[in-house]
This record gives sequence, C-alpha cells and structure tokens, in this order.
Amino acid sequence: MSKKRISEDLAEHLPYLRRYARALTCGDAADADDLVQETLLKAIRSIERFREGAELRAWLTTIMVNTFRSDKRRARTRRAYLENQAGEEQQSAPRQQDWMEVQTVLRSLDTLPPELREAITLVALEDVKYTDAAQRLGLKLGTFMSRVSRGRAALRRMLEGEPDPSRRVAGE
Amino acid sequence: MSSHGSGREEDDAMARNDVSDVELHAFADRQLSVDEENKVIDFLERHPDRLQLLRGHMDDKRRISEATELDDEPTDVAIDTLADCLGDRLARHEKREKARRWSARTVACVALIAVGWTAHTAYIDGPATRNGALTMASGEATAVPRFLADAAGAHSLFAPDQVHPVEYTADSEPAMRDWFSSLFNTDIAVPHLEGIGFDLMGGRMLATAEGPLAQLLYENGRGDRVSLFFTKQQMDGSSEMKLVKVGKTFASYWQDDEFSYAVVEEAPGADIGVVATQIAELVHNRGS
Repeated sequence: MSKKRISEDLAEHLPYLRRYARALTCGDAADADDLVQETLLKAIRSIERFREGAELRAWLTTIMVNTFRSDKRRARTRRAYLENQAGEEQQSAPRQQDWMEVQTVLRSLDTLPPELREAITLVALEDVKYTDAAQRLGLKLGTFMSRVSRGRAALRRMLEGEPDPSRRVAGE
Repeated sequence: MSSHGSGREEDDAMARNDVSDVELHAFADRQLSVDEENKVIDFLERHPDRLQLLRGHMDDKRRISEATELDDEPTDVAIDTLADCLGDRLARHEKREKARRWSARTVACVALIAVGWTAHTAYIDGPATRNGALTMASGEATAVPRFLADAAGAHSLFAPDQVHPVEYTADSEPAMRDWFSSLFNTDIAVPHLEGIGFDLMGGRMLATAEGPLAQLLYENGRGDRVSLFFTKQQMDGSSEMKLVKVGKTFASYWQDDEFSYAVVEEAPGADIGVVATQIAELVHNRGS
C-alpha cells in the first residue's frame, strides 16, 4: 500500500476512532482525544505487529479497547466530567432538548459495565459484522452477541428510569 | 416461561420463544441470513410487543451514534501529528516486509545454489519428460513438477544466447516488474543477487499450458548464468527444496504459499557454492 493510500485510510479512520473513544469515555472529548493519542502512540511502538493485509481500523480499535481497559484512572475522570457537565447551564437554548438527551444517553452509558459499553457502542458507530467486531474486542462471537443483547437491555432500562443494572458481567 | 406446563402449553411457550433476544439484536443489526431473517420476521409478526421493544433498542443505538458526533470539531494537533507519524511508519513497515519476503526467497535461491554444489551426489539423474516423470538412476520413477521441464528447456535455449538471452534487459526492470505483476495479479519484486556476484541480466515471461512462467536470468563475473523461474502452478507434495537433474541442467525447486520456484543452471564452477553460502547469510541478516 502506498504512503498516500495509508494516509487516506488513516484520515478516514481517525474520526471513527475519536467517536468510539468518546463513546467509551461517555462523551468526555478531552479524555477521548487522550485515548486516541495513546492508541496512536502504542500503534507506532508496536508497528512490527501489524500484519500486511490486516484491516487497519480493526487493529487500531483493538489497541484502543485494550488501552481503555487497562486505564482505571479514566473511569474516575469520566465521572468527574459528567458531574461537571450536569451542573453547567447549556448556552444554546434551541438545542437544549437534544443536549439533554445526549447527556442522558452518556450518563446511562457510564452506568453500564465497560464490557457491555464497548460492545453496544462499537455496533452503534458503524455497520460492522459481528464476527469482525468480536475480533476487535478479543471476544468469541457468542460472547459478543450476548453482550450486545444484555448491554442494550440494560441501557433501555436505564433510560426508562429503572434501577441500575447489575455491573457484573454474567451469563457468558 | 414455565417449563412445567402441559404439552400444549410447552408448545405455545416454544412458539413464543423461538427467537432469542440475541437473534433479535442480530436481526436489527442486519447480521442474519435471509432464512434467519424470515424466521425473525415471522416471530415479530406474532409478537408486536417484541417489535416495539426492538424499536426502542434501535432508537438507543441511534442516540449513541448522535451522542458521539464530532460536530465539525478540528482534530487535535497532537492526533494529526501522531497519525502522520503512524502513516510513515506503516509505509516503511510494509516496504520492509515486502523486502523481507523477497530476501527470504533470495536466500532460498542462494541456499539452493550452495546446496546444489555440495550435494551433487544427491541429484537424481535422468531426463525430464513432458508428463513430469523423471527416471532415477535405479530405474525407479519419481514425479517432478511439470513446469520444471519448461524451465529447463527455456534455460537451455536462452541462457547460452549471447545476443538476445532476455526479452526485458535489466535496464527495463520497472517495465518487466509491472508486466510480471500484471500477469500474476500480485506485486512482484525482482530479487537482486549482486551480493553473491550475480548481476541481473533481465527476464522474460513464458507461456505454458499451466499458465505464465517467469524467468529471471543472472550472470556472474565468469559468465556463469543462472535462471530463477517462478510460477503460480502449485506442486503436489511438500514445500521442501529438492534437487534434480533435468536434461542437461540442474534444477533446485521448492514452493511457498503463493509461488513455485526453480533455480536452473548448467554445471558451474565448484567455488560458487561456498561463496553463495556465505553471502546467503548476509542476505538473510539484512532481511531480518
């Protein structure tokens, strides 16, 4: 693949990575961009592991998920971010309802176990085959499908104002 | 659902639950085959409550997507810089990998030349025929790849030619490479053996009944000429390197996942094997 083609591919993948990072960090743009930076740094450092013919987006997504999983600090900053956001007054009145809805979704996502959040946000951001998505997350297909189902059910309950779902990843 | 009801009740329960939540989500994400989708559609027609719930899940999916939209925000400068750096590294990595593959192939060629000169006694001596049978000294017949006969014939015909031994000269290597790549439908790199004293003279493409067969011709300072042939014809049996005498030529052949190869030579000077062995190590080290 030529340098030009690689640059084009990266330019296409970056917005996706930033969005997925935002989903994982529940909307904290700064934290999400930190996660993307760490992902790119790790990719550069482990370039020898990239196999020719492998899908670049899948490889970078896997690195990002592993980075997210290994960084416990991120969960604390995210909670602080969400609390801060909740206290702020929204400037744009016409978009206030949208903004509220977005914040509700992000806060609900934050209550989900990270494993479920990883799965349901991955399939929300792009039309990806379950087999590919499972591979990116390092899961068996059945486990991934189960997490999608349970994650969505838990999110629905949260949005309908039901009690927090169990944070235990069970039934796999 | 109760699992202790009557047979009728159990049948009804099975009918109610013949599509799991996991399948419903897979349906909504368009992961199912047509038959599987039909099964889910039948189920949803009978269970509008589940359809309503599924609609809610899909709304949530859309909300997640909307909640992470970037709103035309510029990319962080650090991210752009790192992405640019990653692009450079990936391009270099791919070049290195490509060179490494060819280095490995070149090492194999060189090793064959070396082995060929230290293992003459292991050669099977006898004429190759068009049907691929090679008569062993003992009279026992063993199969050799069909393309070897074509390769041996081409080497015998073209290599001694002092006027027009190749169709593409080394000066036309880029054009030759493009032509080979086009016919094999994959990127082809031309191995260089200057390190072991063999210069590329050029090459040609041969048409055989089994498909294209590429020939690259090399010459050393003494005028000894060696041909490397490669083709997509796959051989039966193992990928181990083998040595045979085909007509008046000696051929070493092997295969990998993509190509079958043969190095064909007339009887060159005995010191080439020693030199080739030493240089093979250098080439291998450079490629790793």
